[in-house]
Amino acid sequence: MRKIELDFVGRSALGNPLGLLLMLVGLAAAAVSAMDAIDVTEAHADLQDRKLAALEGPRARRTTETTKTTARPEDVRALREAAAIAARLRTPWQRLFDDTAQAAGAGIALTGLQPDPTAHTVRIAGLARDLPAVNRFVGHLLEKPGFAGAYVVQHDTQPKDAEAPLAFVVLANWREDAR
Amino acid sequence: MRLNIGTTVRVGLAPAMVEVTAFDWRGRAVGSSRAAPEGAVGGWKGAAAGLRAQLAGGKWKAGSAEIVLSSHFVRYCLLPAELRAGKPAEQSTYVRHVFRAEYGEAVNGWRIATDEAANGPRLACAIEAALFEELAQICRASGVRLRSVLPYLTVCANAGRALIRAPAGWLVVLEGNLCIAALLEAGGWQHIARRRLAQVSGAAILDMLREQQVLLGGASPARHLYVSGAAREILRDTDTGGWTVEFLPAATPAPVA
Repeated sequence: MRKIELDFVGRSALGNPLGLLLMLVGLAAAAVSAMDAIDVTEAHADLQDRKLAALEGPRARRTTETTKTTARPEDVRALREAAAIAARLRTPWQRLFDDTAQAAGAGIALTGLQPDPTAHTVRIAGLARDLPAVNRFVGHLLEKPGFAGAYVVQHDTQPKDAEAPLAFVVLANWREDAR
Repeated sequence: MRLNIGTTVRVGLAPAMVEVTAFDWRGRAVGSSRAAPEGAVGGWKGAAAGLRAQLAGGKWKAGSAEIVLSSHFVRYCLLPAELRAGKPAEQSTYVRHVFRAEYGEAVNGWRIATDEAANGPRLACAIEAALFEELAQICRASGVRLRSVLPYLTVCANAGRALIRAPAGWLVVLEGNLCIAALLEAGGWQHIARRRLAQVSGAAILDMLREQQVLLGGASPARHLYVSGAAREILRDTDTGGWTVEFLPAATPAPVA
């Protein structure tokens, strides 16, 4: 038998105001997530393009030499980016990973590592139990031969994550040739 | 402003008893109380006064209230399936006309609700508008949002609807000596009768059903009984002869007549 829907309290067109508010919040959150997803997709596609450009670097350079007089600004920009990618690809990742992971220890979870070979810096993102743990990490980092200066440039508490409530970003000077 | 999201009180309102049960946001009962109204017993005014006393002081800390009304306070009609067209105002006029034909001019002061989702004949229920206004005022005064006011008959039918499967059967709901019998065919309402029994017994309920079948010209093949309310206990001990009896789950809160 079908459910009987009979109520002496009339239903308003908008329903429960709280339900409406929650629905609007949900829609806003969904929109933000969708925008983030689009950003990530575009960034991924951009990265793929750069890798491709880096792999085709020598050929591109030859092409540039032969058509020196007709090089367009966008080609020059692409070549610069390709050179940057190539430099990044030459980064001794294994050593960078090892040094950073050793400095992190147990209280830190690393979530991102972004070296900039031209500026000789590395941007390290992670999660920590608290700010003292981040400071210990920075101290351990400075003990490594490749790292010169290291600073906490950003930190943000995340109350929902009981295990690692503090998100942080450390910017460090790093010389890949120092050993 | 007090904010009690998700906390609900369900009220069973009957002439001789008011039952209040509080549920938390997970649907767990967290408290209940029952009290007989003081003073005049029989009409809705005594029951409403009892409810006011029970909700007073905000002791339930409730955000909203659902009130289940005893059939003593409710009148029923079936609206023919074919008469659904027209504007809402026309529909309202027509529904009042159907009630007036059965109950007279008293319908002018009634509040009427209909089951608009029904495919066939629609069930319509009426209560005194003053009762509804009183319930709304009691809830306002107690800081509780009045979410629903439902007839006990529909609460019983919804509680047992998974068991109502036979092509034809009678839904029987008993409160005190007030018996409501509704003929259901293919899940739709075909006939409804409201009767005070001179003697509360299984035999009296079955007599009422036989009488209703005679009134319907003996045309109904219904031999199933779907039993709810106090009739569950009474018919459990009754030899029902050729009737197949299904006992519907208890619908709560049950107004105690």
